[in-house]
Amino acid sequence: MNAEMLKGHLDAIVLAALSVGPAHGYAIIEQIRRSTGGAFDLPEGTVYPALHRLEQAGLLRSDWIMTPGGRRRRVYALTRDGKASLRRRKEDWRRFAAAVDHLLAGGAPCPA
Amino acid sequence: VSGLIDSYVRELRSELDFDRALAERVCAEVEGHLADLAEAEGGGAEAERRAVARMGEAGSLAAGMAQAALPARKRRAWGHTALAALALFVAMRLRNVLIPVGDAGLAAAHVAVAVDRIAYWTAILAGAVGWLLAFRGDGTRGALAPVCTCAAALAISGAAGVYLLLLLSDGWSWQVATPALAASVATVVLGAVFVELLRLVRHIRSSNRSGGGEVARR
Repeated sequence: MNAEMLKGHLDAIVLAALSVGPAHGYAIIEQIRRSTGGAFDLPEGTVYPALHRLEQAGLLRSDWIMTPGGRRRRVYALTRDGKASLRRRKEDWRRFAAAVDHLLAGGAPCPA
Repeated sequence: VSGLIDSYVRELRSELDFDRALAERVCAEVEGHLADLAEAEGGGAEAERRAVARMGEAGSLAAGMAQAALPARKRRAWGHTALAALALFVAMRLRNVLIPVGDAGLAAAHVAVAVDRIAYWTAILAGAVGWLLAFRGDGTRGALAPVCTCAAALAISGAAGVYLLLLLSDGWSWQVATPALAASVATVVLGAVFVELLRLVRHIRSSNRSGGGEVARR
């Protein structure tokens, strides 16, 4: 998948990955890879800044936990604002995708 | 173990040394992530090398993290500056009430009062403009000039205030001690503002080093 195409949607992708449940960075990237059949294989170096930015914006919260293996992991979860933001982004995406699909299919003009 | 992960984390920590708390948090997160990734790749030096390669250059990651943390840093710098303005205002009012300039008849004192007031209101004006610019979502460079102007004007106002205090104080009494204490507090807060501004400059430099936060091509 073209990295430029992903760039504008990174925040929505991360929020969507966390809608399944709280997860740490590694698990989020794995979740994205699995859910998209490997189409979105995000470089880890791009996901962490997005996680921190979303947390700063109040869309995520995070806490340190200890894994059964005794390792410390920072786990992220959607906040109420994060869930609302994800709902809005989904709606926006559906409208955008429908319009592009319609355009690419060469369909007749549709009502706004 | 080849130590590749350790050396990557060391490099990342040194890139983020303008903010110790951010560096600690990011390094702990990244170290854990790299350990998981290397383990999933089978462990060993080659697995560590692949894990580090997936994470990308430490400098780029640091730039992305710096960019993500910049709004909080700006809020902190502005918070310190607002506190300094308040402390200076209290010091100024206490001095004016307890040791009035009017009776002294000193030309230098009147000049110092004028400098103090002009510098203080310049700081408030620069602060108001800077506050609006800083949180309009764009930028970094645009936000730096007003906060620096504001802090510099506050420093001039503070210096004029201390000079006035020295000029007008006639012996040691509570009337002198009270504004002197307030001026000392304001000076300490101003010092904290300048430390915070230096950190902000380094933070902005680090976040501008590359297009941090973008989805990199692999």
